[in-house]
Amino acid sequence: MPKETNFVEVEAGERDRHYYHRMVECEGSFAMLSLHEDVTDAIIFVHGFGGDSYGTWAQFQLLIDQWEAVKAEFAKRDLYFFQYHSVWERVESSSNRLLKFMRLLIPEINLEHFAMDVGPVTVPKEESSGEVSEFVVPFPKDRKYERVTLAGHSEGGVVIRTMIVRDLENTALLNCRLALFAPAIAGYKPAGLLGSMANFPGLGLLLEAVLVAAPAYQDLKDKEDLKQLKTDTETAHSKGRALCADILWGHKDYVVKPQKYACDTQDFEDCNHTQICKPSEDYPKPLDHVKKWPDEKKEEHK
Amino acid sequence: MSHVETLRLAELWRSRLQPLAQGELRGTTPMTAGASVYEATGWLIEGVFCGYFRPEDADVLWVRTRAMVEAAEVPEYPRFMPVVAQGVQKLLREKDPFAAKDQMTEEAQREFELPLFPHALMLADQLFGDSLARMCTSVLASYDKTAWAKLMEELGKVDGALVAKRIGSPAEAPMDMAAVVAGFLRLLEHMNQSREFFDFARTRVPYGVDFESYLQRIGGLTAWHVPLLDAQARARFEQLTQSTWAILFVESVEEYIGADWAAAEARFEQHVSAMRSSWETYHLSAATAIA
Repeated sequence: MPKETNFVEVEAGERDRHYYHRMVECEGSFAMLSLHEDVTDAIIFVHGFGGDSYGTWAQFQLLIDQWEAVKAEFAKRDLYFFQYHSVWERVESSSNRLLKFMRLLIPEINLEHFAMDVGPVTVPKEESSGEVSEFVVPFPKDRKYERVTLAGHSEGGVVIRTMIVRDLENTALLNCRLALFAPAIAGYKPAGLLGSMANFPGLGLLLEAVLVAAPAYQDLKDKEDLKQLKTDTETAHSKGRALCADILWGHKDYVVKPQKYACDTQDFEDCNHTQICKPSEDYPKPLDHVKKWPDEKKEEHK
Repeated sequence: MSHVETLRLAELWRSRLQPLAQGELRGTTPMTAGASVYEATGWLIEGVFCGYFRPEDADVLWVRTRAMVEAAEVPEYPRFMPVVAQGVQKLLREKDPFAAKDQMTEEAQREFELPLFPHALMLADQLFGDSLARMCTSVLASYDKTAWAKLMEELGKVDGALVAKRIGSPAEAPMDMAAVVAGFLRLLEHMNQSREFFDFARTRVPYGVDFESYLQRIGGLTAWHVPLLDAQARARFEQLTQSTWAILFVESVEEYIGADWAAAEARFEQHVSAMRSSWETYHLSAATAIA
């Protein structure tokens, strides 16, 4: 643990733009951290099969700092983009990896993962004898999240839900909100390669078609595992907010079956499987989907 | 109290320059290693130029990194953009390289570039950190003809499952044809992400901003990862396109026997062609200017 950490100085004009922090101990994962002091909201993004922390969510990353219409709404939220081996790792293992990641953030933030050694850029080499370290954290040391949203696309939805039902005593986790995009909770449809490729902007579905034999894909074809996840989630649904998801499906999705759990809410958009989680100025729905937070009073009443 | 600009530069040191200084890269030839060092230095120059980093911090960091840059093989055209290499060479010649006077003065240009900079750098970091993509770049850019022929001989033994294995375990992937094909798929994905980024940037260009200059400087930094101006690399890119399709086809044809494979092949080729075209537009425009 670093001995001493400091918060950073930011010019007024820079305050609303997020600071990109690479989570080096969680390879490929990174954060966009708010430079405001009073931040209590966080969103954790979990990509799907064949995706990654950057590619799946790039439009989110660009729009929240660039589009004036939404900039203010995201300026005081921290965003985390979790990466895992979606292709080659079993879902159970990925969910375990996600749980470890979550423990860095809730119930308390583990500052060790955010402290940057600025020594190499502030202490001239000729003046330093040996290693000189000066650790700085890009946010106040007492930052604590009160409202955490878990956003998952496709397999990411299965990974998130598996993590939740495996840790039903974790209050901090149970208090999270789930905002899912086309989650593969009812398995993949046996879509043909052509069907998969037809509407694809990138190579994600192309890879998916190549990798039909990968273990994670097999998990998602294994209806028994997914049925058990459904049963476990529905049985425990009253234990916390995180058991019930808000789901956005695509009308043109030929990859997953749009079957929600009894405790979920759902909505449909005129999108395919990959477009569903890619916001734009013409399609802001994904931004709304991850940022809305349930009315506390209504929840209590329910 | 530290400035956020200082923290950003410390991230550049940790994510880019330090791994290069420690020689932590796999799948790298002297040419691509040199290009990696020059690219990282280019990000340092551009970051100071648009105000993302502070010149005084950059001067401190430069003392730590200068020797590594001096020792790196100078990457050359057509595999590397001369505008980037010249900027680094100029830095090596100057005594006080990051003087504040060299920062961008045009307000509109700065307002356009500064908010995009962290995203462009993250995009480049993802490409830099992708060991399979780097293997493919090495093969495209600097493998001799004998080594390339040997790799192509392996092609008959490569199936979709082996390519999947390489994608699933990039850290353990040996330098073989399956890894090169996996790297090619990864490169295509990076090209797609890059296209989306520059498409987005283009929609935000206000009056008075020189987007062409932006493409030459920022797009030019990562151009070497897919060196399509080099005739040999371009020919290999074409061969990998065909080989990758063949692997996909053989892997999937039995399971999806009813598919319209001719149409599927056309779609795949269109996709690759679109990636190639956008790469030329957004990353290789400096070369067009030279021509």
